[in-house]
Amino acid sequence: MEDEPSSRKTEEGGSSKRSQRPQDRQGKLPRRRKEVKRSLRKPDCPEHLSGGSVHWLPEQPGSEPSASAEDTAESCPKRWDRCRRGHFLHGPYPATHFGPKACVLPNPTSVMHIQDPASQRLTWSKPPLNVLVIRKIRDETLLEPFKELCRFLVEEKHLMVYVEKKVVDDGSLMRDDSFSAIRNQLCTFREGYDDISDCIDLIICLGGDGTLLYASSLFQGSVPPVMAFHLGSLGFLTPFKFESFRTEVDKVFEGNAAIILRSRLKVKVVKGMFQRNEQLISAQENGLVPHNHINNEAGKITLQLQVLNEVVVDRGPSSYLSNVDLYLDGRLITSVQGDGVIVSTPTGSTAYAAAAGASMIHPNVPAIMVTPICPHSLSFRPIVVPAGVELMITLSPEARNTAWVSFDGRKRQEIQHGDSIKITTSCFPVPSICCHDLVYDWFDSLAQCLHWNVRKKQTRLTDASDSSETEN
Amino acid sequence: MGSRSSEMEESKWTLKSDATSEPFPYCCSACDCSEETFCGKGFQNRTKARSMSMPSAPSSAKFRRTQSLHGPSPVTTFGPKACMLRNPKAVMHIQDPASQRLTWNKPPKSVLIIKKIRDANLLQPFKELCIFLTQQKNMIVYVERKVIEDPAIANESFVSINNFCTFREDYDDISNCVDFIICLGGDGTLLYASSIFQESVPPVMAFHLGSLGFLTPFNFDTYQSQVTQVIEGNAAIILRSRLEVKVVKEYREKGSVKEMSLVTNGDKTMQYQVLNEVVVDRGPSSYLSNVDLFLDGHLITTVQGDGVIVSTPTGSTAYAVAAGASMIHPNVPAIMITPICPHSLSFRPIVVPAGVELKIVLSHDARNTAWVSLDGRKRQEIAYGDSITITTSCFPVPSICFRDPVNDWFKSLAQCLHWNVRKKQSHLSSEEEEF
Repeated sequence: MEDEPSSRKTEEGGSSKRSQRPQDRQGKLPRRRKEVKRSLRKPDCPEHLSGGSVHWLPEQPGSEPSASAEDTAESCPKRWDRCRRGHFLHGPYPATHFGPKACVLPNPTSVMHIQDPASQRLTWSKPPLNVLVIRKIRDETLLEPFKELCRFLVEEKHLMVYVEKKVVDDGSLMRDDSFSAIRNQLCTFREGYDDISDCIDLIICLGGDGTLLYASSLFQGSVPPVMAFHLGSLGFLTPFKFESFRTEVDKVFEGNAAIILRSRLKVKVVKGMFQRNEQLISAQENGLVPHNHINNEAGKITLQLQVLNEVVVDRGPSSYLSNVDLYLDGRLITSVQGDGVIVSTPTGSTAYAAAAGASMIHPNVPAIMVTPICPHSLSFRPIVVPAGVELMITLSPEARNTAWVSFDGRKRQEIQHGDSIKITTSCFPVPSICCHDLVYDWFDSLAQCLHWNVRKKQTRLTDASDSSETEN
Repeated sequence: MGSRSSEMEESKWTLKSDATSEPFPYCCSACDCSEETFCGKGFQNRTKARSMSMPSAPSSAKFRRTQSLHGPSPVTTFGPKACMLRNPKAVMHIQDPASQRLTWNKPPKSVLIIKKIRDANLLQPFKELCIFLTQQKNMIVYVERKVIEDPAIANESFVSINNFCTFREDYDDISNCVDFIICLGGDGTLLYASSIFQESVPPVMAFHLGSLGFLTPFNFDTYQSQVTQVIEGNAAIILRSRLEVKVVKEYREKGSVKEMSLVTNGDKTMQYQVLNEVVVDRGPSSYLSNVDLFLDGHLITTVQGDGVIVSTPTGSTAYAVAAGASMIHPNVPAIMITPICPHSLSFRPIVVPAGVELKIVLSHDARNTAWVSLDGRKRQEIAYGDSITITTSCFPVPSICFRDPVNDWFKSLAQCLHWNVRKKQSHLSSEEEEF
């Protein structure tokens, strides 16, 4: 595969097994007594929100009540917290009655119904037949695993295996006679020429987070499920260990694998549409805005891409500060002066954005992260905004140079005055198959990949006396 | 193509009409919709929630939101043969936070006014507001007793009007008597409101008198029309999530009974809702605090340092921002974990989904006890065997918005924290162009 971004990547893992709740629950807690008697306010079952029936998990006998259960509420919304996971991953339904008289105006048309991320499972409407295998090229250690995998998929599972032409034209593969029978049965495609986006049922990635980014780039619409193996150390996006690939692949074929939907950003580059009246003339006079750009190509979308990690707008080869304006839902929120700005998904928050100082966001949080790169400002903290906003980046009118944009580290191009980059969350996520626990595995890879908060632990005081005595 | 001039607020831009961008509908997971086709399932293009208090702003000029603030519903078919297994028992119904509006089941009759005490500037506005509410709006006004006992207003005639009710903090429970809340003068008033209402919280309208606050979006100058609008039921709200915190103190033979705790199974438990954050720190000790952090039962890390902050998105611009965290918009369903001066080179703050359960306990190797505080109050010691459990509460604080949740937040970022405010680099004036 050609262009492998070297930026650090993120990971999520999970499986169909759920973690058990710790067994230290209290019983129902009586309310504190007060002078004035109060009638207990219960959160209402939000049936009016759905306009239809609301489905709740049945109460499990003998299971511990969750720590946050409002045990006094007898209405149905609280039943689901009797299950193994106490809440939907996005949090509990908020009570929609506020005080004795106020409530949220029901608005059924603006209600979304989504599967709780913690319970998302894969299923096959027909058995998969076509598998795309993505292997990092120029890595010798992957040759044998790749051959084993192809052999397994072709000879034992009788699948049609697709690979990119460069992968199969590898010198050492061609020289291996024992592999030639398999090799002749592989389907090849040429990146950039052949469109395989409707032909693939399942993707298997070998060896590194970049393979997942590559998979994402091949599928600009719906993405088939992705199973990613690591061969060396655990990656952020590669939860499966290659040693057990046979059993893991079999399990996936059975269906019911846990998946995490890694959100992507939909990015459009629009040429020459955006202009600020009073500055346009002077910008044109200064030669920074080519005249023909405005007239001929105004409004044209020159590029539309889905990104899994981030969109980076930076100063390119110029030594001047980049100077871009950031709009959110049509409103100018700030100007970024510095090396540039990163707009990333939660998946991408542990990639370039982490290097730029951002906090790290779990992939199940629906959000977009905006992080400046070396901002020339003492007060530019990264922000996390809701996933449903629309961001727009344009060159500031006072900018001394053009800017450059790149998408998951690729397709780098120049941004002129009047051009704009529009970014929203895509409705085509990358469905990554999880290995163990959907939620918890992210922390495993934080520790292993980034050594998050790994340090030598301070030892206990060997003195047997009470800690309070050591305080003097 | 012609250009449509539309004055966008606070901006002098001219936006040409974008003939190439089509409004794409809310995608519902039930249909396999691509982003180009129109999914006619009853979702329409809608404008942002109308703000009640901007009479001069033409709604046509406002940004047209084409998807839920929560993000689009993801397409649940993956390639030609795979799709998401339908599990009707685990379906979430998410109302778009951007379109949440307040409505009254019955007309509001009683209002709680929270005023910052010991601030002389607030006395006159407070009086005006009380008179307006009792005489013009015929509302019953509740105030905390200390507010009325302030010598500066104690002997004013308006205090003895019939419609005035007082309560004493920590003694009287008014949680079912108040229809809505007005806060005067500072973000702390909202925290106080949150502390009084440990379950359902009436809608809160918060005014600033000096500079704009994070939680106080309304300017007091126009309070009469603003309050009227709210009483008439014309308001956008943002549900600020809270954390439900349980502090469990292990049974010990020595040790005093905490006055607010109850004894069950020998352990004492205290439950509390916080709007900003839970802070676990080293208290008066000089030793590093050493606490273990569990998420859904798994140990994720140990915090060694001054302490750790577990905050809501609302609280991400409070103590957490001082500790180096990113700032999260209140509509993102998340919990933020930020270390305070960690003795580690690699402890970056993290953001986790709102639905997880966190637990903090003293580490086995800790040299001292830790101290916990909840929104800066209710401070208590945490010893071996004690634990703090944190989840997202289902009782948010419904704050009435001035314009809408997105705009209000960015305005206060700029005004309160001077977020990225600096002198702007000027344009090159010479003819020499950058290569």
